[in-house]
Amino acid sequence: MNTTPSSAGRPIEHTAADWWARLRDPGLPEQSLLQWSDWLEADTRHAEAFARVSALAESAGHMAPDVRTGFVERFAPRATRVATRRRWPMALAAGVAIVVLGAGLFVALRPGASAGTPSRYASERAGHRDIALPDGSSIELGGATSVTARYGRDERTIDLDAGEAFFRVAHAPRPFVVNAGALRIRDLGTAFNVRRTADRVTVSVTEGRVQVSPASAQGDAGMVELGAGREASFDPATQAMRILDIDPASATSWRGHRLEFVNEPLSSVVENVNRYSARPIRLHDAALGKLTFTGTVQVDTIDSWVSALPRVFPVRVDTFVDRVELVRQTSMARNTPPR
Amino acid sequence: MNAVRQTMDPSEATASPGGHRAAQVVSLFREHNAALVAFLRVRLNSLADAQEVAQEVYLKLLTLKDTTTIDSPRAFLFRAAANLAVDRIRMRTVRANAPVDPDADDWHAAPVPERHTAALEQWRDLRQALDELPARTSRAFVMHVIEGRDFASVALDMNLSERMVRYHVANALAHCRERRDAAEKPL
Repeated sequence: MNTTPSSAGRPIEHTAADWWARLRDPGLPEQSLLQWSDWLEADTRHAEAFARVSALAESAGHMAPDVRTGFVERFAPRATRVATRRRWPMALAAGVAIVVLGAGLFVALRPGASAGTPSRYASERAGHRDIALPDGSSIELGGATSVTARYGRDERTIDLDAGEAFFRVAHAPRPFVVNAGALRIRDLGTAFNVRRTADRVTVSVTEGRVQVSPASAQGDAGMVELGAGREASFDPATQAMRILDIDPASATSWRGHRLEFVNEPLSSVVENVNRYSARPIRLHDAALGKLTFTGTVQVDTIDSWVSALPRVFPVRVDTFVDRVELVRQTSMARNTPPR
Repeated sequence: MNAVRQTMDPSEATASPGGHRAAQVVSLFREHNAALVAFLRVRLNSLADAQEVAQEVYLKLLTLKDTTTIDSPRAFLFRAAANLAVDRIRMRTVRANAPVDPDADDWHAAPVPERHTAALEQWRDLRQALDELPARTSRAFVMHVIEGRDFASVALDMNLSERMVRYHVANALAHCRERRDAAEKPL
């Protein structure tokens, strides 16, 4: 671990480059630093070789942005990485999931299994998962989403524990009910999307009709009926439901690897994006969560979305190995020109 | 080319009645200024910034109380430099994360023609040199040196240890330097 670049049999340039790379490590032990300075000061050829290596690194680190992009695309492309390492295994995993789940549900739903044995399904971060239910209904899970299905004799019940799911419900005498936090959604033969971010729940109808009511309500109290192109959004802060007209395509945009938000609190946006992000995004200051965001996030280019946030919000982005933090930024510092 | 050069003249500082401490700092700088700037240049990847921060180190040491004991002056010098370099990088991060308006920085869109050509040629040579290396080696170099990502993040991305990333970066740097030297040598 603590080897010293040796000059024995190596050209000075190599030793200089080895030292350069070692000095780039902020955790370099002090003793090694002193060894390096002994080496540097021992011979002017060492200092010259070191300066030449440093100059090359410096010039490479200060390319014009378009040149830099060219190098990155050629030698360290990001897109290929996503395609080869992530998408394929995920597609495979989804295929396996359908088979396994189908078998699992078949057992659970045999006539007589009326107790409604709960089955829990979850998708991975950034993963999508299709669940084909034996009654012909289907659920498409977004990233980091979990649902529990209980098919009883009188009712088909799905609990959305967290995340986002698109339901396509086959007509049947048994009602299809989705419980999501404070809301209960009763299907009337339709396709709809439910997104649950902690206690915030949004129901968007793409086809047909659903009934949405408070989970705590008895009977039809507080029930609203939504048709296609309508959305009901429950805000835990106000304990109120807001009804909006929407574009049905945008509500289920996540199925096409896009997340779309309209006047959504940043805290909720971040939590949803985190269901897809390799590195979680954290709000350094809880007050930032109250800012509202309207726009589209491509789930495969979350990094560029994050880096653009300082253009629209008074934040700066601090990137760490295991997380990305959004930190409140004063307008003065924000206006400092980029280096 | 001797880029690591004396950037300040500490002898002028002796004129002020700084006493023993000042004299010590001045001699420390005389002896190790080149190494100090070279060290800062690596950490900051900028000679101009390194020279500025070296001045800050110098001022910081001059204003130390005479009662501060320093066991190893050289270690103390590098430690102070490393800390100030971290501050400088932090300051840059703030600036780099400031809103970017791609339409505003048109400074590279209208370059001086001959300078542009020379730059393109230089980068073509670098690209060729990188092409000659194993994919992992050139990749580590591009991520760390060109993109400016730290070893930890490159290691995570490439599924390698930080030590291996360092190894690849050093190899690529030595190779590209050799290629550039060969190109610059008169026939």
